[in-house]
Amino acid sequence: MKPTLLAGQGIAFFLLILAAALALFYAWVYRQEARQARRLAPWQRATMQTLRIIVAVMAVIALGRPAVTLVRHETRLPVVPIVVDESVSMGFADSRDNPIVQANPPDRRRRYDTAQSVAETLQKKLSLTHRVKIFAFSDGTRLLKEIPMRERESDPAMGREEMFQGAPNPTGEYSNVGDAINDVLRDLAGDRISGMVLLSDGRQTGGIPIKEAGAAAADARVPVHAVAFGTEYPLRDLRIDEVIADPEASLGDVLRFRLKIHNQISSPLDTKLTLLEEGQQVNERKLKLNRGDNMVEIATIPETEGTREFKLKLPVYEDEVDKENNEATVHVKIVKRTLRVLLIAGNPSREFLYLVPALLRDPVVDLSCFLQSADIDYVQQGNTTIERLPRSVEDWKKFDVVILFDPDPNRITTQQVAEMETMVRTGGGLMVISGRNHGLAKLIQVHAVKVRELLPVEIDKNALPDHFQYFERPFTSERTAVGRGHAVMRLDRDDKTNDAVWATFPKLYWAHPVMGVKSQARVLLQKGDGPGKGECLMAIHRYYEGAVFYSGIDCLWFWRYPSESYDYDRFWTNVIRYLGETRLKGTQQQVALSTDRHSYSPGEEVKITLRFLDPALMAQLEGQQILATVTGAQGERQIVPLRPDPKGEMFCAGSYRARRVGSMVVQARQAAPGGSSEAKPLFDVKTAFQVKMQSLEFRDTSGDLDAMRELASQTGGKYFDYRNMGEIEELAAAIPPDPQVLSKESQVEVWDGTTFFLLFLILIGAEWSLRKLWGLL
Amino acid sequence: MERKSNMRGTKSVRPGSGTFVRGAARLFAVLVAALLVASARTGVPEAGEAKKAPAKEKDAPGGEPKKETPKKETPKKDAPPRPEGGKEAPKGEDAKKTDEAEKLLAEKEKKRGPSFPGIDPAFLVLPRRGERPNTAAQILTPQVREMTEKALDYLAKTQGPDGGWGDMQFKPTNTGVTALACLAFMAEGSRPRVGRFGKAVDRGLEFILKNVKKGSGIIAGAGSNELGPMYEHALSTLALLMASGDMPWKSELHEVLGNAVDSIKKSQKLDGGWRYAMTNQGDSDMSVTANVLWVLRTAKKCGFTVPKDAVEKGVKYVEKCALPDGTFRYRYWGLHASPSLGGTGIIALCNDGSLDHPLIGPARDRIAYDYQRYTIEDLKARRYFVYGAFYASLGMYSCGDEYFVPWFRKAVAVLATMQRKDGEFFDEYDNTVYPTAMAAMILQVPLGYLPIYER
Repeated sequence: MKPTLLAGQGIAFFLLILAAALALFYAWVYRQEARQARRLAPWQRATMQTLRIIVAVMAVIALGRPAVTLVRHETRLPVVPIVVDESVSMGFADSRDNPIVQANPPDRRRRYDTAQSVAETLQKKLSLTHRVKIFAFSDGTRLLKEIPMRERESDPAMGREEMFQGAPNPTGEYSNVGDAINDVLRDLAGDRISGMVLLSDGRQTGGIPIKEAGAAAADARVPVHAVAFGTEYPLRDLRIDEVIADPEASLGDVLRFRLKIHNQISSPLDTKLTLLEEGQQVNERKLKLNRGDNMVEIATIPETEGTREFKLKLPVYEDEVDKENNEATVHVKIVKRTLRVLLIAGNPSREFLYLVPALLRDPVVDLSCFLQSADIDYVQQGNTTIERLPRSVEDWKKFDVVILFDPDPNRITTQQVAEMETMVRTGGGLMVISGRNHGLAKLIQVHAVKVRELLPVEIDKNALPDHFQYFERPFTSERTAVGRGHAVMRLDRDDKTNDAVWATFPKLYWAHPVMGVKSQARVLLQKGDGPGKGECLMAIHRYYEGAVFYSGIDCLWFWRYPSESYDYDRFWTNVIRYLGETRLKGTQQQVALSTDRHSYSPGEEVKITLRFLDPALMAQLEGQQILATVTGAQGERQIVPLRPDPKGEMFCAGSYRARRVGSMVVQARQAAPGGSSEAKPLFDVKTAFQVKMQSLEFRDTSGDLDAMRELASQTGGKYFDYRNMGEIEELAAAIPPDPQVLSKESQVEVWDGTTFFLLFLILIGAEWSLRKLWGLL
Repeated sequence: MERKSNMRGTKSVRPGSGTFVRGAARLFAVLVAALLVASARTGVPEAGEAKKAPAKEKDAPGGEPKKETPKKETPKKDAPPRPEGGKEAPKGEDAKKTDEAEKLLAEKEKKRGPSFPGIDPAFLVLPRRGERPNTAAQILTPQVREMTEKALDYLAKTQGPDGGWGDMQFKPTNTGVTALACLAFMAEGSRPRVGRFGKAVDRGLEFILKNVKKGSGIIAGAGSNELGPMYEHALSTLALLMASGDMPWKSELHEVLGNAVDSIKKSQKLDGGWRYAMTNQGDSDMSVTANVLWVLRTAKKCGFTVPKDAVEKGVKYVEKCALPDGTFRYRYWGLHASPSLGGTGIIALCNDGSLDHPLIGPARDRIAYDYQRYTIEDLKARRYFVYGAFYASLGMYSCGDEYFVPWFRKAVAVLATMQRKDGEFFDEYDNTVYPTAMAAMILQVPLGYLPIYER
């Protein structure tokens, strides 16, 4: 009990004044009564004075409102809220490594099932010492069940069916984890919360950030024990995300399929990829896949013409979230076609003797040789024999690629050079190999205009070959930065191996002198040391719709060691296909169009990227406006400008805001600057994406274990995931059972009671009665 | 290259003009061959005497030679790729990342086999490799490189002031020996006036060109074989053909080569083959015929017209010289086969346009068997070992690594015991230049810089 003045300290001054006033009043009364009072005995006077002082004091005390405070204590059990995520992502299969999952039957291995098991385990322990409340949350939070307290362990505990009667399956569209924590804290504000148990995959899709809610819990001194479901990896799934294959392929040539395979089974995963053509297995490849995205290639050689169905299959694994995405089907039109190559060589140099078999070995190449120095009645070599050089534009256009190998300029007419230039201008390929016999200076002297235009390099027309010079000082050849990334110079798919291959090529002794390189040309190979270091050895440029490749080396046969014809052949295959691509495939394939994802929700930004695989093509399009067209299912179109990367990377990019639901096709089609016809584009590439209503819950199927761990750490709680969930019972033991002690205070006003009032009345009455009795009135 | 006897060990017979003379010559040749057989039984083991071979390698199979098949030595799949000059390409994963598409094409082409495309084809096209091979780097060991360097240095040192090379039997200088020396330098990668030995090649070829006989077109100088200059002419023509695209300052070269090819064509004998003398009279021999066929096909590659029937007749002659066990007789009516002719047989038959000629397989297997079975000393003791090995290298190389690599290793082992301090190799007549040139070419086969080695 604690006395106090309810009127407060401010009234004391007023009470002093009142007391002084009363003293004066009593002094005046005594003065008035002085004569009558003289006859009273001293004890009578003392009695009267005492009574009056008591009454005055009581009056003053009453004005001060004296009171006493009474405190009452109450003991209650602490509360443990178990907050369960009921969003649809909890319906995904849980980690196979989770011991609780392993203990559940196969049909109950969802994250939600594991959460129910955990909740059941915890409540069995906690209901003996705590008040346990089960909450469920998705976009809102609701109390599912209050678990009745059990006196003894032997008392039956509530079963999971009953516990989750209100939420047997996870159906919520959102996972507002932060909101749920806040809601529970608010709901249980009056209770002592020993700890909050959060059962979730942590993948928040809405509401306040988890960190913010964690801070609120930390302020409220409520440890949040985070029990995370799922793994840091997306769900077990092996899927083929993308298959890149040419819509048309040559009969008898290699048809490559480049696949983007997403592996969420294990890391690494040893599996196999099967390729079927019209249901018949045509190839199988063993793969070792890393977790995440993997680019894989598989190939076949189609032997039947027509539109063929190719199916790419991966095996289906247990517990895969989607078993239908393990295969993909593409249709490819197989047509009989070849690259017609005309090799015009001035003399039978050693390079010529190696080059001819290398080209004859290529199954797509239909080679015609024309050795200018050959006997008049000589039967020229090649798959298709020619007797003379083409004599009309139509004749030249029968060839897709022409190789001018140190030609004798006097054995080819200016008219033929002009016709050949037309062939290149309209999509053909030209390779110019300089040599020591005639040299390019002589070629330029004889056929100045067209040859100068065609060449990607500048040649001094007066620098005729000095045949009396000895070349005994070797020099290295090195790829430029452009060359290192260019398809022509790729002798192995693997970058490291490719570099190693190039490092093994021996030194060379002779190269054709070059004055400079044209602005739109790109140097691929240069001198690595010695006099003229950095001088161009190989360069390319796009020439209208075609392309021209220059080689200032006439002894590539040095590359035959140490891999015999393997790298040598591959280089030539690369060059010929690069130059003949426009003819072979209708357009250049040196671009790749892609979007950052394959499916989007309405309103999301679609990033469109047009990547250039050929730096020469990028250079050719410098300053040109590049557009992409996005066409919807209803035929509505939108033009998206693609701008060059500001950092100078080899791509152009633009963005499109997804509006309507449905399939969208992106197309980039570009005519050559100064090209012959808009109808014949330099490249024409397409890609597609989907716009659909999709739950955010499906976007990322991995658990956000980091967020859950951080939440536990932030609030001082414990953290469990699939690695240590077997020890979940330790959590129940770690939650303190300290009871909640409630103290209630109440104040009783001393003056405001019957006793005080009666005493006051009695004293007043007594004083009045004594005055009357003693004749003072 | 031999003055008094030909290289196969039979006495040469000068062609007569009458039937009696030819018949007598044949009889004489048969008698000489019989004598040689008798001498061979007491000397160097010949192919037909496999059972009586005095020494066998421990792992050599016994029994009849023709029933034996050589062990195939295939490169290890996971061997580190491309070691060279101390450098090694990344191992393991990278080595496995061979382009699958290339493999597919290779498999497809392998099924198809070698091809000879065109109307009148000159180029033999062998299937492309499915994987990047590293056998060349493996077999081009430091020892082989050292042997090669010493051999090339020896050749460089022995070049005459006129630019030519001679030999113990071919003094002072000889176009055939010079051609072989030039080819040895070309196998290193040198070209006329370009490369380490560019000057030497240039001088050597100049020497050959100086020895072109006006009118006949025959390329043979003073030191030529007295039986006839066909070897010198053929080898000189071959060397000039190999350099013909790299000698722009020699405007007359095409004409010289044209005449040289014409003279070969004119020298084809009635039996379809060729021999030392550059006339169409007399009998042919297998060795010269094979050499000439080889030159003719190279000439065809280089733009010279070579009549189909000339080649066909030549090949038929070689077929007649062949025995079913994969050996070849020096002359088709000979009694006994010569072990050195296996390689010449293969390259001669290849010149008909395919590697699937029914006689090539047995010939290849026979060479493989011989090199596997006989000891280094046995092989070294063979007559004209380096000569035979040179032609065997041409034939075995075309047959693929599974045959070539084990053969090459054994050949190198034999050559290693034969190389002298100054780097030279030798034959039984103490010729050192032409054996050194041939040995240098053998040792440099893995480089793949000389187009006479076809794949």
